[in-house]
Amino acid sequence: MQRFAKKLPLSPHVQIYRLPWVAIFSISHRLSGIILFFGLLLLSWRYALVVLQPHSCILHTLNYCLVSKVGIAFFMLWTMSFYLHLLHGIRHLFWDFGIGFKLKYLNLCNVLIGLTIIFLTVITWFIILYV
Amino acid sequence: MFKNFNLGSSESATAHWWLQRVTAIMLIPIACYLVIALMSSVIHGNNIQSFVFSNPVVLLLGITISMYHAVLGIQVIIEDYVSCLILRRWIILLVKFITIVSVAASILAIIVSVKNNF
Repeated sequence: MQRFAKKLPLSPHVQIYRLPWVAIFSISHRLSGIILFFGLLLLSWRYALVVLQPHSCILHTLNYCLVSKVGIAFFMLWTMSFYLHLLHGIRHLFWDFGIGFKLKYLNLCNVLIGLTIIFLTVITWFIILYV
Repeated sequence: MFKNFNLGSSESATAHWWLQRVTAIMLIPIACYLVIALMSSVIHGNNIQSFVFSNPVVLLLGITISMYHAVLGIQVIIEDYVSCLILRRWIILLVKFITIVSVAASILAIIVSVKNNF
């Protein structure tokens, strides 16, 4: 079996480019997908433990970790990733139909998505922490 | 043509692309519900009553579909960034295994919680 993919000429290293905002959103889309996956694994296992082994030691440890400062920070990142993935995913669906590729719309959408993510994250955590 | 036959994704690429989009559209409402359900339970303590918003049917659909969507997406990411084909295959297999075990545990938990309510 061929062990490595075919040797192809490489493009310049990533530091050479000044990344446009769309590219930054694109890579954050992937990154947020991975973060969402780990968070989903964690929370689905927590749900299973709450139902199946409600008094187990591992569940208490997990709960202790989840409401600690690091846990809360992770969940802030997680909700932010969720909003990013949701909004940029909807834009991807529009892109699949060929809508929204003009530079004017791209820039407008970048600003809109960025502001909406920050707004929604702040609102969510204001509700969670203070209401 | 047949040299690299079984090295890429396990199903056909078109089906992969379509399933990714279809699950994405399904997840737009379901994932919002799922995030609220799971997050509120973390904030409100560690008993089953903390799952206030947890309709078992929606929870089941949400966890299954979002796990499937996640596996499809992570498979694409791994295929893009891991160039060693053997390692690539093993990592994809590992991710699929972890996901299937997690989904099975969640489904079992949902069934048990429904049974306990009656």
